[in-house]
Amino acid sequence: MSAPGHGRRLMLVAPHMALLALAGWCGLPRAGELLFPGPALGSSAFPGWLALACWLLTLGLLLRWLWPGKRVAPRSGQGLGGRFLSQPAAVVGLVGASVLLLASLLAPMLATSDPLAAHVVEPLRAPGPGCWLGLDAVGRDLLARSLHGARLSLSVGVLATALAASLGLGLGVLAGYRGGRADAAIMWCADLLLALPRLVLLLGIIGIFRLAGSQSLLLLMVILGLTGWMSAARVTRAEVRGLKGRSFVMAARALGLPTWRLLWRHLLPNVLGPVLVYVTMGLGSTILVEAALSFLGLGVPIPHPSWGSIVADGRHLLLSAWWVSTIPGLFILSAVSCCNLVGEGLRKAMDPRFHG
Amino acid sequence: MMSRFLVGRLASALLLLWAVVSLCFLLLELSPGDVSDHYYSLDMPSASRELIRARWHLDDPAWQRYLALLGNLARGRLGISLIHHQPVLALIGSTLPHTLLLSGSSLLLMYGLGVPLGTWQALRSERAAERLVSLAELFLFSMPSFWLGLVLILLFSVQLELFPGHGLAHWSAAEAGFWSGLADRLHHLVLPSLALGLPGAAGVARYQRTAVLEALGQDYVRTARALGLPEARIVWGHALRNALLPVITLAGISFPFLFSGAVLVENIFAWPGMGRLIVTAIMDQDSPVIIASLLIFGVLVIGGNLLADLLCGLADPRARQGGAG
Repeated sequence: MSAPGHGRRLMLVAPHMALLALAGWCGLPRAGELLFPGPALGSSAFPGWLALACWLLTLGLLLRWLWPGKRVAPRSGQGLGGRFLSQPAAVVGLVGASVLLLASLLAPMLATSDPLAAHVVEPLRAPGPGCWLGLDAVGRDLLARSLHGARLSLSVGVLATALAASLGLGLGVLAGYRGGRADAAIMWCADLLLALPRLVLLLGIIGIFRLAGSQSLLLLMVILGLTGWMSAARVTRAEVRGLKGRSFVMAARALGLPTWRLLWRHLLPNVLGPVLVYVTMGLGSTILVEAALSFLGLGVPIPHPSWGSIVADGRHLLLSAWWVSTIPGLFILSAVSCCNLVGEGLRKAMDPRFHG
Repeated sequence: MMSRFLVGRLASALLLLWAVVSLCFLLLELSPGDVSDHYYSLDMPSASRELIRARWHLDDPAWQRYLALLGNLARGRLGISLIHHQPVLALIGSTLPHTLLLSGSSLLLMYGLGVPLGTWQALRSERAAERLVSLAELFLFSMPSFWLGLVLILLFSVQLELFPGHGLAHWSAAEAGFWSGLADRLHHLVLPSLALGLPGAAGVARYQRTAVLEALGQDYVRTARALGLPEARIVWGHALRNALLPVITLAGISFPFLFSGAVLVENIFAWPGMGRLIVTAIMDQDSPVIIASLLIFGVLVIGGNLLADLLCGLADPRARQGGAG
């Protein structure tokens, strides 16, 4: 990637991140209530159209980022976006992810029944007309639960990943640019966190907080973010170390640019691309970890549906009702594979040896 | 050169283990309750409470307990479980082999399946069949292992009744002879190791594919081709040997993922291993068991990394000097 001029991209990426975070919040049905778990899911405090507008704006900014316009000379005739879109698998991933996001935002319209309301007359109804994904053991509609679960699982995933990515970027730039002791300390922390199985560590932390009686979504997101920054930090550090000796950085330093400006305007935009690949893949793995925690009963607090906890609801019903466990699992599978498809497409599009 | 490399790696491994123990201790200190909560009942006289607290040294200052913990661990004393009233060593001794069996067989599956598949993909890169396999791998890689476990149980245990989906061995296995007992154990091992190993195998195959493609694009391969060496010799002698390094490194760093997965898979298949031990210990706040099992996981992971580093050092003289950093 050629260096100067990319500062502008950052101008687009920073609000993009902020909007992504806001959109995540809007995706949460009544965020405040979930942070301090209350009795019922209730109606959404954020209007649906606002959330939709946020997501659309985010998508637009992402596309804008992929097509930087005329400022940057495109290589091999196509911009980054063109190279991304020329891969069918990546397009499928992007479309799939958008469909899932839209479906989760429009959950109240797509699934009219309440995800928490029991339908005791006819529990464990098999999937069929009128109730497309079946009912669970206490007669709650699985379509409604899966779609509302998508809101929680995706929001937790996106926000935790955004936190992990910003932490990883910041620490990675610091470690790579400063070197010396800061570098050694940060990388040692990363090694320490990588040495422990992440799920076991998370179980420990959440288990301890749970005994204090606090099990909240905010906590879950923060902990997931704090334990997921390592790979982004490593990639950033390696990139920054490579860029540090390049002439445009030298020139900026010779011109007497303050360090923060050098980092912000010149190094960070150039690092964002490779990190974005890791962030997309990291989103997939965060969704998986959240599902695993919810499956063990330590993730999203229980009356609220999350994909992992719905799978857990059905694990003892495998003999009688296969659909309760398998259907939310398919949602997890599709969300994570979409993330991985998009990540893979981005990686290929950024590869200088790109072909095809 | 090799011994300095070894000493340096061992020292940093010990430092990491110390940090793991300290992190555990810090987390447990920060947690609100302690284990005595499980013993208390409403009608318990306060003298008994005092006795329990004194018995477990719960009222000592934190630094004293921390030093005592480090001293005990250094002498190999893992303590006594506060819930099971058994030595932690015995608890771990009875569960660790099961976890090692499960993760070992999954690791075998990961590499036994992943490496040949990845190599095949690299050699057939960008053909239709390869793309299909690649896509299938991506799906497998994106699959939550607990869900895969449930689907495997549903298919092979409930519907087809081919493999048992529960436990370590059949209840009658103790009376059976050695060979039929072994067969029964292996029979029970199939589904859990598939659930744990298949997503990993997909990951290894993708990694191996990139590594071999990378190696095939190098100058020495072009030279070998220009010299007219047979293609099989180029692949075996040049590309695969050089693709081995990143794969060994991957094996070293895949241990944490393997153990994370083992926690879930053991939970689903009622497999009496460390994963279940640590989950129940966390629920009960059984601090000696939590610290000891995290320590064991840490030792296993760091040992795996060390082994991978050593293998890399043996395979590639360049790795001995700079290290991976």
